[in-house]
Amino acid sequence: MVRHDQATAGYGGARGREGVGALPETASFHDQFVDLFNAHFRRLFRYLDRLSGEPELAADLAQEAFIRLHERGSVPDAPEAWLITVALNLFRNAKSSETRRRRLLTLTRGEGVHADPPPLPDEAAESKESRRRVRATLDRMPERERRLLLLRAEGYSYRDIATALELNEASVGVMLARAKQAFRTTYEEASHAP
Amino acid sequence: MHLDPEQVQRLLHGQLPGSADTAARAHLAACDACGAELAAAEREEHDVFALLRAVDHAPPPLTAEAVIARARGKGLGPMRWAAGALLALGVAGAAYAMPGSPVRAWVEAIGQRLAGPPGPSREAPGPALVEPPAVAGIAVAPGRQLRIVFTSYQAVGEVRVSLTDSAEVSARAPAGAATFSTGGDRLVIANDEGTATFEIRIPRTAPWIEIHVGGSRVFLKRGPDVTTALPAAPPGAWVLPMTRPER
Repeated sequence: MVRHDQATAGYGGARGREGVGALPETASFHDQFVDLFNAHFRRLFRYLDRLSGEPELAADLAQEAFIRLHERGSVPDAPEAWLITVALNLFRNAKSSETRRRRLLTLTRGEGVHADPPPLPDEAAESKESRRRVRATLDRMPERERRLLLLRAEGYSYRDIATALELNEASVGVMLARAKQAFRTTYEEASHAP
Repeated sequence: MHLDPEQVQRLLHGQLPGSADTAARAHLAACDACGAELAAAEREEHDVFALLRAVDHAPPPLTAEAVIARARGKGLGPMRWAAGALLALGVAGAAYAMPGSPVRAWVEAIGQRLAGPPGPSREAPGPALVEPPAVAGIAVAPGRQLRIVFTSYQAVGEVRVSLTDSAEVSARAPAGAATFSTGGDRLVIANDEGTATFEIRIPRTAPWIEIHVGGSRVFLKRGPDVTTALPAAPPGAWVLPMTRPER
C-alpha cells in the first residue's frame, strides 16, 4: 500500500487555495472533509472508472483516497491534486498486486455499482460496441496522455493536472490537444478493426 | 501573431490568466483563422468527451459519513491488536503465576527442552508436559471486506454465526480442532479433522463478510443485510451446516 508520507509529499499542511480550498477558516475539518467528499468523490470515481475499466476497483480506490485524507486530519493546500495523486498511487499498487484479485465474489456488489437501467436490445448492442471501442482506445493510448485526457474530462484545472501528473504546467494545453488527437485517431482505428 | 495551440486550449478551458485572456479574446474578435481554430478545438473536445461517457458506470451510493466511519474504524485497528496482545500477555502471566498451574509446568518443560538433555547432576524429571486446555480461535479486524474460508466440508459439525457489538470478528472451535490463519482480507480455517463445531461472531458494523465452506459461499453480510440459505434463528444468529450439500 502507499505510504502516507509518499502520497502526500509536496502538498503542504495548510489550506487556502481556490475552489474548495477557499472554505471559511472557521470550518472544522469534518465540514471541510464532507464538502470535499461531496464535491469530488463522484468525479474521482468516474476518473478511476474510465482509467481502469473496473467500477468496483474505482469505487474502492476513490473511497480509500478519501479515507487517507481523513486519516491525514487536515486539508492539503491542493486537495484535488492530492486526492488524484493518492488515488493514482493506489491504482498503481492495485494493478501490481495480486491481492486485487480478491474481488472474485463481487457479482452482487457489481450490480450495485452498475445501477443504470437496462437498455433496449438494439441500444444495448450499439452501446456495447461503443463501449468496447472507447475502452480499446483508452487501453491503447500512452499512459500519460490517457491520464491527462481523463483528468481534463473531469474538469480538473491545469495546475492540478500538472501537479498530479508531474508535468510542466505551461505545456498542459498542448499535451491535452495531442491527447485528444491521439484519442480520435486511435478510436477511428479501433472502429475499423475487426 | 496568431494564437498558439497552448493559448487555444487555455482559452477553451478558461485557463488563461486575466490579462492574457483579455488579449487573446481581443485577437480572436479580429482573426477568423484563430476563431476557426478555437471552434474546431471545441468541437473535437465535445466529441471526445461524449465518447468517453460510453464507458461510464453509476457511482456507488456512498456518503461522506460512511467513509468517515470506515476511516475511524480502520485507525483503531492497530490499537485493538496492541490491546489484544497486552491482554494475552496478562492472561498468560496470571496463568503462569497461579499455584498448581499447568502453564508453569508447560513453560518449564519447554525451557528444559531448549536447554538440552539433563546432565547427571540434575534432579529427577518433573511432571510430564501438560497441554493447557484452550479453545482454538482467532480474532481479526473486519476491514472493508473479509472472507472466512473453511477449507473442507465435514462429515458432521456446524458453524454458529452471530452478530455482536464487538469491533472484531472472532472465530473459535469450542469442539474439535482446526488451524486458523489470516492474511490480507482472508481468514482461513483449516478444518481437515472433519468433526469440529465452530462459532463465528461478526460485528454488526462490519461492511462485508463472507463465509465459504468447501469452496461455496454459504453466508454473506453486506452492510446490514445478511444472505444465507437458512433463516436466522434466533434473530441475529444462524446455524450453518458444515456438511456437503446433497445434490
